[in-house]
Formats: sequence, structure tokens, C-alpha cells
Amino acid sequence: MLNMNNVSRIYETGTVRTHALRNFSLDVQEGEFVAVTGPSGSGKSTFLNIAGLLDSFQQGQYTLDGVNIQGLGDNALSSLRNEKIGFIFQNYNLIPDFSLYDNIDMPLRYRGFSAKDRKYRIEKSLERVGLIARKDYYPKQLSGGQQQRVAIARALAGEPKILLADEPTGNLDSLMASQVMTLLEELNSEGATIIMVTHDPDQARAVKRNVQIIDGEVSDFSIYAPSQNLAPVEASA
Amino acid sequence: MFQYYLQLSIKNLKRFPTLYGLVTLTLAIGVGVFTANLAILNTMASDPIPEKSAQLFHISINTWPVETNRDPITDIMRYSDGMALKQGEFADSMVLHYRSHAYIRDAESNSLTRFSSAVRASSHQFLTMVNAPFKYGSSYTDDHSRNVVLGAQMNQTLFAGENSVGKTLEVNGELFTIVGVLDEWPLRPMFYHVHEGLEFRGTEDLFIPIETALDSDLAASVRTVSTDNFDTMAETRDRGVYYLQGWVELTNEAQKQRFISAMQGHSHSLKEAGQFPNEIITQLHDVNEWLAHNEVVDNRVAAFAIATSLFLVVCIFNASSLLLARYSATNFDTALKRALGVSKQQLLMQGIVEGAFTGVISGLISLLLAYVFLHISVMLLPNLEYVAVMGMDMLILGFLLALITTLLSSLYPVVRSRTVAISTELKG
Repeated sequence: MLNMNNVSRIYETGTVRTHALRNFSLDVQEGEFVAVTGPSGSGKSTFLNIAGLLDSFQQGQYTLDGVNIQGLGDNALSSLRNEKIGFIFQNYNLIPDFSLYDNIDMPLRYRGFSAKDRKYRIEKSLERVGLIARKDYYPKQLSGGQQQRVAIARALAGEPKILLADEPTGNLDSLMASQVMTLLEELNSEGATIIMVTHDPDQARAVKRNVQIIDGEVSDFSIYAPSQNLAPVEASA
Repeated sequence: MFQYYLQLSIKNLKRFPTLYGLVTLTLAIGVGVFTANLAILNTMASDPIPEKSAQLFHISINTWPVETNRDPITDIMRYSDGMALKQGEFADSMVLHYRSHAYIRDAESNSLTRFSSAVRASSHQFLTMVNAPFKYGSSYTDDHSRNVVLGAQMNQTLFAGENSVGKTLEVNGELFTIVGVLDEWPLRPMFYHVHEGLEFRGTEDLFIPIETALDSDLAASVRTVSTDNFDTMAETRDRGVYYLQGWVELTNEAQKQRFISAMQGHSHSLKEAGQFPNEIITQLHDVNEWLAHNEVVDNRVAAFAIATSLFLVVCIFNASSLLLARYSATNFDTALKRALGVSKQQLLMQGIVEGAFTGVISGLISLLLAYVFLHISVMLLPNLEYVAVMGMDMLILGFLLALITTLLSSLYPVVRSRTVAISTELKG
């Protein structure tokens, strides 16, 4: 599903070169739920940005659902993002002036779905997260947990190949965080491929596979206690 | 997608009402002032008779009989000079005319009120030559007849706009028969008479055969220069009185050369007879050359047009700055759209639709303001009354200008907004 091979990303500021990712390799299969952990500044966000086609890289290869993204133009990358990737952000990132319905509708519009198809997808996804009754509400009328569920619904409506979650419970209290995690686990059990960046060791432990990034590389040094079902860590070259 | 882009544009306008209000007003003022000025300039510089402006020529000839070092008088001529050229039949159609004034009334009316009227005394081919539009009847066909043609406004005044052909008109106490009534004839500039500030005063109320006008002693109410005294207009036929303008219709270069030769021949014959000691000057100016020669376009208006165009540029930059602030305020929305798969091209299209939508609003306001500015111009400078006209062409131009300037103002902010750092914005 997602394959990165020796990917390197270097940021240059004046004379300073920062290796955000170095020879980073990772293979995620369809249906996996991967927790990506690591200390601040380790390269988690850079990995997620590259995985989400929001950032470019200087070296290596990246294949998403069989598409080699190297050399693709903005239109093709945007189209891939729209069709294959569902984003779930820490800050939910809903447009405050749009109703829940319109928030979910927006990416579908740009994808060119018919009005009937969009309506079906929006209602189905809102139903899935238990917020169909509030489809005409605005984000500010919802709690943080509910807003994150709307963001998940937005990600689900496009039926993406992979969900990229960037600390999806980072802004939620424990109860709401647990609800959101349960939802993600349910989605995964239904077949969704999920990559989740998290700082929360409990959440990392709870998912099927952990990947730790330290200094821009996948590391086998475990900063969290291993979970029962920890899959082997992919080694970088 | 266009419909969705439009919906988003309306949402954004509602979201930033003050900012968009300022943008539309800034551009509307710039475009409005520029359009108003352009309308004046356009009226002044327009070709009043495009269908034949290249084949109608003003006759300029120097026949001043007294030796002089002063600027030669070439734009007006004596009756004898005009008739010599006309009767020589060097062209299919040549006319002589002068402007006069009379008091007129409906001779069959019980009312004795006489109306002050601008009069054009002309050869009978004149109205046909200048493509005067007839509402009723036709032109007089004889320079000695007592038939006249009435202008639309005066026909409205005297006969309530009804067909007055066949009715009797009293002109300075003499009776004439109306044979034609003109339709509205907004000839701007009035190319056949561009002196004495008449070029934008509108066409005359009454047209009368030239010989009849001279016999009826309809005085020339224009610049008249003479070497002889005269008591009546009829006496000007054989005296040194310069007041007539001549126009000739020539359809090809050969005809033009033939007429110039005739003018030179006339000058030479005067010289040989010892009646013309000065330099021979014979010139033909077509309509547009004649308007340019007489500087019908006021240089002050042209200079003001440059100033207003610079003002418009400043308005565009100001609007662009405001829009830059508007797009900076929505960096988050842009980043989110980009993250959710909206391409830069789609964002550009959205920006263009939003710019066009704002441009339509700006265009409508600018046209309203242009009318206001024209009105103010006339209040401040009453001389502009007849040129401060906003035709359909200027309305369309003004509207398009607003649209284009709004799109221009939007372009940089839209293009810049597309380069927003997505992850930074979304991290909040």
C-alpha cells in the first residue's frame, strides 16, 4: 500500500542542513494499523507530510498504492491526495464557516462526484461516526471529540486507500480520545489502512504495529514498552 | 465546478464584507473616474460620420485680396470663391453653408410666441452629404426655394413631435414650408462647424436653403472677416466677406487631385487678375484630419485622462494590497484545501471566479459612479455639457475595465496564496 525506500529529506536554512529523514524505508501493507512514534524533532511530521504528498523529498523512492509519485506534477499529486489519502489532523481542521455537511462535501466537490453521490457519501460517513443528526451544525457547536469525528467522516467520505492521522487525540480529553481511538480501531477492523503519528505510549501499544523514528531514521530502539502484538520494525538501509 | 466556485465566492464576500467593500469601492472609484473621463475624451475624439469621413473634405483656400504678413484665412471663404468652385462642377457634390439665427413660430398657430433658433443656411445637397437622419419628409432640393427642414427638438417644441411636413413656418416674419423633419441627430463633434465652440453644441433647429437665407437677410452668426462694408447678407455675394464654409464629397484620389487642381486654378486666376497678392494655399482635410487640425480634443481633457489612468493604477495596487490581506487571512482554508487534494490550478480557478464576481459588483458601482462624476464635471465645467455623454460603448468598456482591473488586482494575491506552507498552517 505505502512503500518508502531510502527516502531522504534535507532542509537547508542558510548554511545549516537539517536531515529530517535519512534513508528512511517503510512498507505498510493494506489493512495495517501502524503507530508512528518518536521524540519531538525526530522526523515524524516530515514522514507524515511526505506520506501525505504534502512535502517533497530529495532522494529515494515512494510508491503509494502502486503509483510511483516521483516526478508527478501538482495536478496529479493533488488528485492522488484527494482519491487515495484521508487526513485526520490533531486540530481537526474543519472550516468554521461551513456546516458539517459542507465540510465533508468540499473535497468531494473537487473530486467531481455528482450531487447524488456526494449526498450518499456524506450521509453514510456521518452516520458511521454517529453525527448524522447534526449534519447542519457548525463546528463550533460541537465538542472537540465530535469535531474529530467529523474530520474522520470527511476522511472516510472519499473512501481513501489509507488514513493518515496526525496525533488525532492530542487535543482531546481521555474519554473523547478513547472514543476516537475506538472508532479508528473499528475502521481498521473493517479493512482501513491507518498510519497514526502519536506521542501517547498507550495508544502506540494498543495498535498492531509500532514504528519508531529517531533522528530521521526508523529505529529498533524502543522508547516505549513493547506491546503484545508488536510487529517487527522495518530496518532502514 | 463553476457553481461551487461562485458559492464559495459569495461565502467569502459575506465573510469579509468590509474588506471586499473597500476593494470594490477602491476599484469602482478608479474605474468610475477613468471611465467618466474616457467618455468625455471618446466623445471629443470619436469619428462623427465613420461611414464617409474619409470622403468628405473641408475646403481650405487662401484668397485674401490684400497683401498681409498675418496668418492667412483659409477656413472660411467668400461667396464668390465658393460659387466659383461649386459652379465649376469639379466634384459631384459640394456645399456651402453658414450658421445663422432666427426667431420662428408655427405660422398656423394661435400663439404668437417665437422661439429662438439656431439656423444652418446651406446648399441643398448639405443634409444628404452629412447623412442627416430624416424622421419625416426629405431635404429641400433647390437653393432658392422657400422650403425648410426642422430639427427634431424644435419640431417637438412647435408641433409636439408630430409630422409637420407641409406646415407653414414663420422665420423672422417670413413664411416657409416645412418639407422635412429630422430625427434625433446627436452629431458629436459637429464636424461641419468646429469653430466658435459649436463643435459640441448640437445640430441646428432649422436648415434653410442658402440663397433664400441670403435673400432673407439671415445674418451670419459666426466669425466674419471682410474687406468691404455690407448692409445685407445678399450684398455679400459680390463683396469681400469671408464667412462661408465649404465641404466637398470626393470618393477617390483622382477626384481629390482634380478638385485640388481646380482650387489652385482659381487661386492662379485671382493672382493673374491682380486680386490676390498672397501665398497660394489650397488644402483639403477629410473629417478626421479637420477635427485634428482644429484640435477638437481638448488637451486638458487628454492630460486629465492620463492622470485618471495613473489614479486607476494606484487603485489597482491598493485593491491588490487589500486582497493580499484577505488571502493571508484565509491561509488556513487554502492549506486545508491543498491537503484535501485541491490542486493549485483549481485554487487559481476559484480565485478567478471570485475576482470576476467581485469585478461584476465593482463594475456596476463604477458605472454608477461614472455617471455621478460626469454630472459633477458638468456642474464644475458647464462647457462639458454636450460632451459628457456616456454611450453604450462606454458603459460596456467601463464594466469590462472594472472586471479586468479586479482580476488583475486578484491575480498576485491568488497566485501567492497557492504557495502557502500546508503543514505549518495546519499545525496551527
